[in-house]
Amino acid sequence: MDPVALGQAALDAPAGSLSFMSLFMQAHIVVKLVMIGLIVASVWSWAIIVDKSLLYSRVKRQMDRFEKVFWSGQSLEDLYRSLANRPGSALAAIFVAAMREWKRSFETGARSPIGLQTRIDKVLDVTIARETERLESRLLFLATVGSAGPFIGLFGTVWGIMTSFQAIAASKNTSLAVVAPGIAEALMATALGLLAAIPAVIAYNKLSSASSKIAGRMEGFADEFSAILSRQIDERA
Amino acid sequence: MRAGLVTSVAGHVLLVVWGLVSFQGTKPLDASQIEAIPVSVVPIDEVTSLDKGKKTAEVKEKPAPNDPTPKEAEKSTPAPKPSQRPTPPPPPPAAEPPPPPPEPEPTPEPPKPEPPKAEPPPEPPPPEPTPEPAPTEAAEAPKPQTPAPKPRVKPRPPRPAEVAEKPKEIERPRTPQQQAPETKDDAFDPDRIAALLDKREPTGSTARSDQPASFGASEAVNPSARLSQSELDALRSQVQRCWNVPIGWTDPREVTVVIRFRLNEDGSVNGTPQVIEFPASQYGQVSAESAIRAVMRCGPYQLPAEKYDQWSEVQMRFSPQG
Repeated sequence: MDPVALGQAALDAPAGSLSFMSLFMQAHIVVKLVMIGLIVASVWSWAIIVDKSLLYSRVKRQMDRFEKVFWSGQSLEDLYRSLANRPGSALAAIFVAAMREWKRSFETGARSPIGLQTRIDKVLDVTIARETERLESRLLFLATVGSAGPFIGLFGTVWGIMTSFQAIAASKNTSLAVVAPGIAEALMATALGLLAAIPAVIAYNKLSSASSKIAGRMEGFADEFSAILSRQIDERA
Repeated sequence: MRAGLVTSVAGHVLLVVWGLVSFQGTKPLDASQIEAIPVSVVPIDEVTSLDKGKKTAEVKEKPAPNDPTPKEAEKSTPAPKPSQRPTPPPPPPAAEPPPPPPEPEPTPEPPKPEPPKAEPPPEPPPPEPTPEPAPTEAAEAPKPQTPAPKPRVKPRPPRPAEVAEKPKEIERPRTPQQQAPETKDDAFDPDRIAALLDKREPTGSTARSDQPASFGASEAVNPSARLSQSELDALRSQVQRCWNVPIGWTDPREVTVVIRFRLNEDGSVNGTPQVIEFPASQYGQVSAESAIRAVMRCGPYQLPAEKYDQWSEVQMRFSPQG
């Protein structure tokens, strides 16, 4: 970009036009890209935050409901029959997967207790991993935005200040009216970076701890259920 | 995922709208009113030229070597000598008449050491001021350059290494009233038990340093600077009038008291004077009280109001000499 033209633009800019829009429109193309990228990142990360918060609260609710049903003394067969087609929650999915493996083993007559136990554990592990992955998907995006956002914003700021200094040099005028718009628009890039990064970092910490809590709960249920099945296997053998 | 995206987009749109609205009219800072800083260029020609004018004027008067002659003539009497030195600076006009006759005498003398008549007379005056402030050390250096005999004589007058205060006393009263005080002083010193009141800090260094300066630039140049000798004298004499020296002492040190007190702007005493130092003799308490009484009784003092900073707090030494 021609620094002279930039300087002229800076000079021409009326002093009062420091609104969001004019700041954005005056900015250098690189700064504009940075700003757009940061806004998009912010939108996306907020989408993730909202989505994950809803998901986690829903998952927790479902787990509570399923555990209540599971420990209510209802027969596992009945429970399996009612859930087989659409396992509503993560725990239900684990339960269904294990029960399906159990039933399949009995139906095919493959009744080696050790083999059955191993297979069930494997199925439980796989299901837990799948559910956990579903819970944690896109969380890393938050972490990325949180750590890289300020840097990207800073890059925009540095770039903007660089060009505004060029403008100063070109216009040979250091009055605040010439310097201020360039610096203001440059600082806006950092502001946007922080705007995107701060919620992302906070949300990432909160969501990742929530997801690990849920994963722990699934592990615990899987271990318990595995113990129950193991007892069943021993009884039937 | 869709719900999250929708809420997020909606939230951001709201945020941007809010930003557009709220940042639209950034209030310009009220810097415009402060811009004008009134700067007035004050010509100091008047002051400066006054200063210079006085310098030259005094130099002209000095060539008439009033000072050297009387001093030489009165070598024997110690008191008058110190008194006359201070006089030259302020009174040149008044002092002129008497000295002119002696003029012939001085001129012949300088020629002896240095032939050029015209030059020597102007030279002697400059050394004189310097000896006065610090007669012992500083005076020695400048003197050798000019007529050797005269300077040697001058330092002697303060001859009594005894008390430096004596000369001060004598000097001050004279400055205000040049000729008349001289006689008074003479009476003062030997006869009376003169009360010597020192305002220590100002008199000791500043007042003295004022005088050499007053040769060139008179006090009027910088009225707010310091109390002049005469003003100090005025204060001292005002206090002195009211001081009843305790009776019965044998050594002046037995009744020498240092007192500090504050003054209001109208010259009245503010609060109670504070005794800084009083002798451990049997008269100590009495003399301290008498000094305080003197200070309290004689107020309000008449002092130049514009120099209030200088005399807002005064430290004085009450000491009878004789």
